[in-house]
Amino acid sequence: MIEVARHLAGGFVDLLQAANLLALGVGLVVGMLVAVLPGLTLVMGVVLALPFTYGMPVTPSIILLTAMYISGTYGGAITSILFRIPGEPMDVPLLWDGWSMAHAGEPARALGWTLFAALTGGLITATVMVTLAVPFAKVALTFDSPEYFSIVLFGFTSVVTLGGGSLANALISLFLGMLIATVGVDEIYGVDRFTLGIDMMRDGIGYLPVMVGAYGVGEVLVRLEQGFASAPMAGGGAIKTRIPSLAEAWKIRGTFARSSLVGVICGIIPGAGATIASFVAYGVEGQYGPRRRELGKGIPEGIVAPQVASTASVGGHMVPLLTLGIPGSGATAVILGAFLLHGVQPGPQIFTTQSALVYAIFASTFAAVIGMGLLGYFAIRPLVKVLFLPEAIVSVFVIMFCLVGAYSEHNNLTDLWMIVVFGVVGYLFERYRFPIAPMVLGCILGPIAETSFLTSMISYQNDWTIFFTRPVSGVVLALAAVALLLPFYSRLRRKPDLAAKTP
Amino acid sequence: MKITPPASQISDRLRAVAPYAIVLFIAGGLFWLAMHFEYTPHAGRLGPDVWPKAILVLMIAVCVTRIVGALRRPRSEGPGGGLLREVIGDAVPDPETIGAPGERYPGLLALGVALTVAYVFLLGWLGFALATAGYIAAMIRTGRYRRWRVIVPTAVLGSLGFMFVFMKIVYLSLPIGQPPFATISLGLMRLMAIR
Repeated sequence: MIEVARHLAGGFVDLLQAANLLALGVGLVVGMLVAVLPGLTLVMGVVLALPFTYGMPVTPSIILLTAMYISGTYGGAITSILFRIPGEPMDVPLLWDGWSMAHAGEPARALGWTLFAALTGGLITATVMVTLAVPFAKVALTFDSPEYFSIVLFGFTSVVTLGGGSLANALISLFLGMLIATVGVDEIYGVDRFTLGIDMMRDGIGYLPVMVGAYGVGEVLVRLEQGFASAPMAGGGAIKTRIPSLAEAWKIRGTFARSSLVGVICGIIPGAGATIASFVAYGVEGQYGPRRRELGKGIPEGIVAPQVASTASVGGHMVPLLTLGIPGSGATAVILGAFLLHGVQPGPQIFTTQSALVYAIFASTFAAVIGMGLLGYFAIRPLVKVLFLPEAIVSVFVIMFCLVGAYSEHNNLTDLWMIVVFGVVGYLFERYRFPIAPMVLGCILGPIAETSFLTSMISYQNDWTIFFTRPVSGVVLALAAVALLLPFYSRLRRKPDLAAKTP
Repeated sequence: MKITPPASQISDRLRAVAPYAIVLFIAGGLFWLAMHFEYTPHAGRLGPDVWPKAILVLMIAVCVTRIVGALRRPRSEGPGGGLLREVIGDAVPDPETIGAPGERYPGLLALGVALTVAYVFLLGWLGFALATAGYIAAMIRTGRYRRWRVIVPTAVLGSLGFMFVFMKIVYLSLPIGQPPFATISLGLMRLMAIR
């Protein structure tokens, strides 16, 4: 532990370099702006920032993206509470109690609780990340390909089953993503797979065009079809934040504890993101909180639970990314992309080969949380001004960033066509209620799953039972099976209830 | 006595089945392609077709299940929301149902897609600056914003801003276009001291 503290101190010293501080500041401001703007999601924002990191050294690049990720979990809360417009899907639960409290004449108090919750969740997540990462990495060093395969499979099942919608649609989305990842020349046999005789397809389809197209262009197309019909903003008035006292916060310590735990766990599980953390934390509060009957009427617990959980999920996500090289969310997938573009492969070895980088990231997480708090408190008024920009103008610039960002990866017009294709796919997914997240995760984790599966088969003489007989792999697969079967169990259990309710 | 379902029910069923039928058709085609991968098998190793075929089989199975389910009960979506619904119970509404859209403008959507395709198609010919300025202006107008006094400067300054940031700061080589448009791009680059 002392060793970790010593390294972390070194990380703070590294953070003081001008480039790192600049990256941190820019990341915080842009992350919050992106989250404030409805229609521009946090993942899209991180994706759009990626091209700017190409010419930067690796440390400020990762600091920039991580700072955006952290501050993005707070920014959308402001619009949820003040204007009843969730900046991000994760901010939807804030509509119920946050908006109600603001509507009852206490917007400053609602904003204060949100900011305090984000700060607490952020500090908890940063501490958990620093504490868990090294032991995780040590355990990960003992993992072989069957364990990696099982973990990725667990990620797949969790993204499919944790989403709220149809299981079949989520599975189809996931399989489509996994298929996209197989396009191109196979690494072992050198065989063309699904290239359709088109040369540009031989290089494969990277996950970035899929992600940028589906999340960025697809979302803009959905909003264009709705005629960019966001409600016009009212004046904004005197926007202030009143931070609760420690005594007030102590009264709902149980909510803080429960929601932090939910956030961290949802972060560690690949596939479960901040949105799921936020909804689950609110739901847990609704089922187990002492004031559950008052939830939805503007009580602090209803604000604290989703906000703590969504911010706390960030550190949880960073742990598998840094220790296993497995991104569990869209934003961490982009951060993984930034690592790889700079020739750094995250995984258990990173703690010995790039220790300074890792601890600079850890230190920047603490600094980003504090910075987010200061920015959220002092800069709230100018931040909210961006909401007055016409949506048509903001959206066209989002598409431009998507296109230029995709082009900048290989300086190739082919990538632009990919963006357009996946933009349309993203629109169709939204239109017909197929979730996008499983497709993106399938595209990102698909190659890891295939490689680890084939390596396991080669190493263990095609003995498929190896996935079940190795203890860690077996346990993880059992969890995956439980996650996958639970919707069916849940449905069977609800059937008699429904039958009883039907006259 | 044979009971014929009403036309609306048949239409509901077809609408529910259509997306899965399309995916099933595509998956079938891809499976056929996977069966024809040409490679020399290595003893004791799985071929490059095993992984995609496994995914496709699962995909086909899901589609068939949904098609059968939708034909029986067109309004059912099958099991969903498992763990999330299990934990949150009825304390919160279904996240999927939040923010249901209002009026739709398919014409705007079609125009937006056509403009984006045209932009990518013309980029190599017109060059980044001209194509981008035109695209930004056209897309803002398509998004039902009507103030040309704002649209034109936004398009021109936006295009030049992108050019400056990505060519001068990020060192990206954006398309300059074909003659005579390349002359305009090169002139703008000289003005912005981009080499």
